[in-house]
Parts: sequence; structure tokens; C-alpha cells
Amino acid sequence: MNALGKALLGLHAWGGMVFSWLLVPIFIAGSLAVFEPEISHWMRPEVKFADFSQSTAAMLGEARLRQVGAESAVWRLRLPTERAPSIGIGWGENPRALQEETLEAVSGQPLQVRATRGGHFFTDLHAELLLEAPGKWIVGAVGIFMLAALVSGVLIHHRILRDFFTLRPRANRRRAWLDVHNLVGVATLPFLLMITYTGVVILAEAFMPAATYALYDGKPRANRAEVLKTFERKASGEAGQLLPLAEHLAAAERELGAGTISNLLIRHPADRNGLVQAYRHVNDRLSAVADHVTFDAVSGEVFGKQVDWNPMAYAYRAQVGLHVVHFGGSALRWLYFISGLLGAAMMAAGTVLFLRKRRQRHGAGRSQRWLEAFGIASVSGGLLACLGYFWSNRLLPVALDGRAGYEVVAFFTVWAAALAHAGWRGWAAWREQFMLAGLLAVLILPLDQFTGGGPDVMRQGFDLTAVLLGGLLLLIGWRFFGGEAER
Amino acid sequence: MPFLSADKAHLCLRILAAALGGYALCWAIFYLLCSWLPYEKATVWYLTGQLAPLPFVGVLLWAFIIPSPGRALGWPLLWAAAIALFGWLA
Repeated sequence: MNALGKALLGLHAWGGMVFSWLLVPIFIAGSLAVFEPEISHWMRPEVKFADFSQSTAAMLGEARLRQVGAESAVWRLRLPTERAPSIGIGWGENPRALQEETLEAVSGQPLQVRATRGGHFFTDLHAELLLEAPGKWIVGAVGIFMLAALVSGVLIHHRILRDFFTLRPRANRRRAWLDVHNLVGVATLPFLLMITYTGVVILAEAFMPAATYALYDGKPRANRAEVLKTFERKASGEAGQLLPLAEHLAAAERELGAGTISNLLIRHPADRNGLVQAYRHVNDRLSAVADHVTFDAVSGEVFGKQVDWNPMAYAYRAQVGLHVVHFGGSALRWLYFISGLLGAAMMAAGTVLFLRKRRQRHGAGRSQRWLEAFGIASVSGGLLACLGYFWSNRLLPVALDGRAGYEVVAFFTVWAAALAHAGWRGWAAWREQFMLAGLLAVLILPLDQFTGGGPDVMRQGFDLTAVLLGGLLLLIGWRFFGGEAER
Repeated sequence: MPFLSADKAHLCLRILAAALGGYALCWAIFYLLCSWLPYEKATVWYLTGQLAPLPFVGVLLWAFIIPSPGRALGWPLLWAAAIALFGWLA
């Protein structure tokens, strides 16, 4: 090891262990968030997957909006996609606070969908630990540490190529854990550097507002207002006949590309000065910027359009796009999902390695028990908490008041119980928690069969993934932690 | 018996250097770029956003590499002050 590596060993080992308490759950949640719409679909079994037509969906959504929001100043229509096969409508006075409803994509009938945060819970947990601004500061700080840990890891394990081809599963346990940590870390290093760097870039706006103060007197979002064109006008007070939204959708597709429209926003739908704004999806481009076009709601003429962007804003949003992976299709999403979980596994292996070494040197005193409890709770406890969240989604009564909040309570209750269990059982908790997590994941399949309300191709994909991951967790618990209690 | 051993005090100083030094240096660099670069405001804003992790990671590693914990804190703050002064003069 070179001198730099030696100087950074303490930071890498101690810092890595402490920060992994948050980094592992953040990586697990981020990996799940890649499939946010699919998880949301699984958690709303009232929504069925079906073949749909976006044009028909626009017609059906408009018909329902005319019923429930005829007097509203704003309508919003989310068109169905293969990943979210339902129509979403919203109506009200403020575009940021609309009353919402979900419609069946083929019939347009309102669906009584259970209250849940769905897959978005994992996005919030990943990005801000459900704490909004303070959470962004915390996640930003651990992200910066993660980057430093990756750099220091490269300096410590400077024989990168040799490490990459070294795995000695039958060597002594400590050596095997080191090999796993090195091999997975080296294999996923480019992904980990990219995902962590872009993650910190996204959060920097929250914790480093220096440019906002220097350029915009501290006004947040002023930078967005400068690069995002808005096409608005006041209501005239005279009645106007809105052209059918299906016609606006067809016109928007001619402007922005066939099959690319994701949302319509309608301002003053019953007024002569009404406007229909259509947003393009970002699924086929690296940069997460949504081109948009606005039409006169009555005549259908183009009122404004934005397809050109400030090049630096485009580059910045490319970093956002790289992180949130809306581009690249399902193959890339699976690659991110697997790489994210491997990143969590790399940190978990580092934690196990550190704790084993420390236990051998300092024994199993109170501080060691605490460190082990937090380490175990962050890895297998985090997995159990995610599974508790999924199980609560199906076991809580559908009509329960505040049920979305109770699902979150279930997540944290299971996590706290995992911490208590780890404190009580010590090293044996690794195996017990991995085995329990594997069992709960495998049993997702029968849980869905009994509570899912019939076959659905998207939910079956979720079930199959859960069974495979459950099998993997059982294997890890049995093979990696089997018979090493208190060693 | 002192409240903190020398090792622990040094560790605290290094953590403070990483957090405070990184934040001060990043703020100063952004301030300089915002004052100095002759581009549209939005262009500068989106450029700085993409650079944000670099000063933090640089100072964090520096704080644990440099033998003297006092210098670990002193140098980033000194650099931040000098860069901010440049920005103010620009």
C-alpha cells in the first residue's frame, strides 16, 4: 500500500462503516426507485394492465374532467404508458395542488385505488430520507463521503486489476469478505462514481446555494425560470369552446413526435383564452428536459413551443438523466438496479469485514455490540423494512383512514425491530435476518396471488423478481453467514 | 483527565476541516465563477451545479492526508478567503 493509501485507511474503514449505515439503505432504496412506476402498480392492485390507446385515453380523461372539474381553472391529464397503465386526471385552481383521480385506461371509469405512496416512497427515502430539505443536506453529505471513500478505496486497493480477478471463497472468512468487497467494488467502480457524482450534483442545489445568492439574490428556482419558457395568458372572461383534447394530442404529436406525449396541462378550459400545454416524455434522451408545446385551446393554433435549451442547462440535466435513468429502456434499468444492489453489497461486505476484524482485536464489548447492531440493521434490517412496507400494503385494510402513512409506519417499525433484534442476537442476527428477508421475499408471490385480485403481467414480473431475490437472500444467509455466529 | 484525548481532538479538527473547509471553499469558488465568468446567469448557475462535488471531496481527502490537523483546517479556509477576495475584486 502506498503512503496515500495508508493515510486514508482510517477514513475509508471507520468512515465507510459509519456512513454505510445510511449509504446501504440509500442504495437499496435508489435501486428500487429505478422501478418506481412498476412498484406503484404492484401496490395498487385495483389498476389492471391492459392494452390502451392514448387518443382514446385523452377522450376518456376529458369526459371525466368535464364532469368533475367543469368550473376549474386548471386541468391536468396524465396519459397511460406501458409502465403506468392508467389515466391520471387533476383539476383545481392551482396546478401544484390539484384534486386527483385515477381512471381505468380502457373504459375511463374512476378507480377506487387504495391510498399508498407506492414506489415514490423509495425515491423520497433515497433522495431526502423523507425529511425534505434537512434530508437533502444529510444525503448530500453522505454522497460526498461516498465519493471520497471510492477515491480512497482505489488508493488503498491499488492493485485494481489483480483484485478484479481474485475471489477465494474457500479461503478464511476474512479473506473471502475482503475479496468480495474488492471484486464488487472494482467491477462497479465506474457506475458507483457516476451515480454518486450525479446524485451529489442533483442535491447541491439544496445544500450549496452560493450561485443562487450570487446570481439571483437567493431566490430559489429563478434559474429554472430563466431557461424554461412559459406560455401563459390571463382568462378573458368570455366563454370558449375547447377543441377535443384528442385533437390537441394529435397536433402535439405532429410537433414533438408520434407517441411521445406524456402529459397535458389545460389552463382556463372553458374560456376563450384557454391554453393546452403538451409535454414530451424524456424516455429516449439522456438529458432529462421535457420539450413542450402550447396551443390555443379554442382554435388549436400553436401559441408557443420549446425544443431548444440553454446548452449548459442541457448538460446539467444530462447528469440528472444519467442518475434517474428514464432513458435507455428496461435493459438499462435492470443494469442500474443490479449495479445499485451490488454497490450496497460491496458496502455491506466492507462492514462485515471491518466488524469481524474489530471483534477479533477488541472482543465483543458493548461498543462492538452497538456497532454490529447498527451494521446489521442497515443491511438486512433495511431489506426487512422494505419487505415490511410491501407486506403492509397488502395486509392493511384498503379503506383504513391514513393507510398510506401506516405503510410508512410499518417500514420504520420493522426497521426498529430489526435494530433491536440485532442488538439482542448479536452476530447471529445476520443469518436470521437474511433468512427471514429471503422468506418474506419468496412469499411475496403467494401474497400477491391471494390479495392481488387476479393475474396481471406487470405484477407477475414483480413477484418473479421478488422470488429470485428472496432465493438469493436465503443463499446469502445460509452460505455466507451460516455457522459463523459469534466468530 | 482531559475531556478529549489528543487523537480524538485531532480527529474532530479533521472532520471540522472537511465539513467547514469544503463548504467555505466551494462557496468561494462559486462566488468567483459567478462574478468572473462573462456568460448568461443561467449558464453560470448550471455550470457551478455540475462542479459542486469537487471542492468538497478534494478538501475531505486533503483533511485526512495532511499530517497536521491545524493545517487541514487552515489551508482550505485561507484559500477560500483568497478566492472570495478575487471574486469580490473581479
